[in-house]
Amino acid sequence: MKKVLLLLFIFFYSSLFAQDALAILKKSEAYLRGAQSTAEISITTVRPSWERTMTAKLWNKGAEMSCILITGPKRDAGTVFMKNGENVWNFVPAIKKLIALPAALVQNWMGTDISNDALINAGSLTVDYTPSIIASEVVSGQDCWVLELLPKPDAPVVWGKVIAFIDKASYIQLGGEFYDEDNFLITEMQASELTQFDGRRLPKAVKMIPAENPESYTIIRYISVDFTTPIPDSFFMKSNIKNIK
Amino acid sequence: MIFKVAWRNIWRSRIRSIIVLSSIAIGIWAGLVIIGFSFGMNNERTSAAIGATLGHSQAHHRAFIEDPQPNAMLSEAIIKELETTLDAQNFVTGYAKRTVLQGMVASPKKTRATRIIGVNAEAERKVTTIPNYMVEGDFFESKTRKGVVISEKLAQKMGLSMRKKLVLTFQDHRGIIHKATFRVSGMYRTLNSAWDELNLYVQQDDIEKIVGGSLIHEVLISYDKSEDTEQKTKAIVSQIKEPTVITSWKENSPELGFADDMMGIMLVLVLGIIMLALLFGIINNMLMAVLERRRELGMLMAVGMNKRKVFLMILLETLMLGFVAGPTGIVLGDVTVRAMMRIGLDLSTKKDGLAELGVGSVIYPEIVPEYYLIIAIMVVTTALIAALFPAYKALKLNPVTAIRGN
Repeated sequence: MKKVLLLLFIFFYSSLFAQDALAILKKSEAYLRGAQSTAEISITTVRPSWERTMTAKLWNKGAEMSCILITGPKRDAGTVFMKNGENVWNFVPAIKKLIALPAALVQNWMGTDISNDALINAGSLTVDYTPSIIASEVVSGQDCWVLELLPKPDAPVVWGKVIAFIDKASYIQLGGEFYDEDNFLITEMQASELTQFDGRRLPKAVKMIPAENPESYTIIRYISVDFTTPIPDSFFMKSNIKNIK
Repeated sequence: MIFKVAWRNIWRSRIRSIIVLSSIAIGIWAGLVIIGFSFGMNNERTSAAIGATLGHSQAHHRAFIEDPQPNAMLSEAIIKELETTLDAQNFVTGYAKRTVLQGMVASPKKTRATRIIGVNAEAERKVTTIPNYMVEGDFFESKTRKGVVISEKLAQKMGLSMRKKLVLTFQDHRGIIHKATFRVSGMYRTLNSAWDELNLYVQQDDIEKIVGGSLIHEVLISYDKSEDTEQKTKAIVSQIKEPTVITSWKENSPELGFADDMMGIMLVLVLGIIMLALLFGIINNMLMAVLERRRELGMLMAVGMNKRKVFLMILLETLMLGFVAGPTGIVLGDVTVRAMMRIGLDLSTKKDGLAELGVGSVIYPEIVPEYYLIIAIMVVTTALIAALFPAYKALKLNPVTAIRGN
């Protein structure tokens, strides 16, 4: 009887814990995204011999709707990637053509270390993974939860395991480690420079570092973020893609 | 009479004649071996491509040929009609219905564009030879759910191995994006590494489950023999209505079709170059023969041999050389190619380069009898042309000065 009780206790305790972890993850994602946001960002791809900076405008509403407009360099300016639910479109002004997804998916997104995967499925962490708290750690001066995220069976994700570092005070994700199925670290994510944007604290810089080649990384920087100006649903319509500025 | 004289003249300077004879024979021998080798290589490349990837012909929706979008599929009614047509043709040995989707394959290390081919493994085995090209695992024989067969090359590039997970992203006919996890259940390596890098195979059932319906974009058709594929394809085409389009392997792989068509022209060019070299060899030799025999030719002319006969004699000497050397070369070449056909020419050291071309590392040359006649005609013509100048030189001899000597 005692054993059963103990087992029950462990079971409840662990499920409680898991629930906790899920809540943390959800809160963290919600915080980062907000109900809606308009942001200006710059993406710098760094390679040992060169680097390239791209600027973009980002619109976001809920988990389903997002849109990215490239504003620089000139060569790519005007390119739009839009996601609404299951649909993804890519508008290329040079050829005045709307491209359905697959062509737009080719390789990594616009030559950065960010995969298209991340772009389309941003925010799938809570959907595709089962989180659990494995430790507490101090990351860049902040006390953080260390969450271990294991992919749910059949979840369409490439990783074997993701470790997320989430600030206990602000629920901001300050770091991430992406492992393959053999438990080798493949990519590392570091968020830094917590700054106030439109009433919210956000990391100003997010760095993606491939573990095998740390000299070649990508940094995303927030220039401005607006959480208040409302965006109508019609903004994320296919018909609007050519008007986005 | 003049034949006899010409024949004897040839054998008066035995060594020189043998050298000319053997240079012609070797030229022809080399030509035959090159032809055999090229044909062997081309045929192997073609039949490997047809077997592994192309099929003898393919059926698509017209829209798919213009732009391979997922919604350019063959409807069930069209497929029924096509099947009836194909079943009626006795040269059609099999056909395989496939789903073809452009998409993306992601591993933890890399994301790449890919062509996802959804197959019914059993039908596929009757039509293509891909199952013979497996290096690891199998071609959906062990009934694994959500297995994927990728090429060894792609596995290397993406850092994948057997049983590893990868995520496929693709759009269905309604434009909806699907993402699904598959596990590597087999790895293949065809002779065409460019194809390998782009294409991967999954089971149609799995795609249907994800998309929620059947999606057929392509029907691969194979014939009993690789001969007369054009006519056979035409026979099917004549019974097919729009929007279905049947294309032969030559149309589906223009570069292979082009290579096949260009082969003959290229080989005649090569032979032409060999003949050109022969031409100068023979001219040189016959000129020597004429100049060496100035006194004798002068004497013949002085005792009353007319110019026509002198000209003819020199011409005959050259032609005879050609007639002896030609068959010798052809026989030698034939024997060599036949021997090589059996053994094969092992070029494993150039394996990777050959694989880029879509050819295996051991090449089996082929005998092409049609070229024997072409070669024979070319040799005789060359000999004739080569004889003209020396014969003309002989004509120009003045009997009196020629007999005087020097």
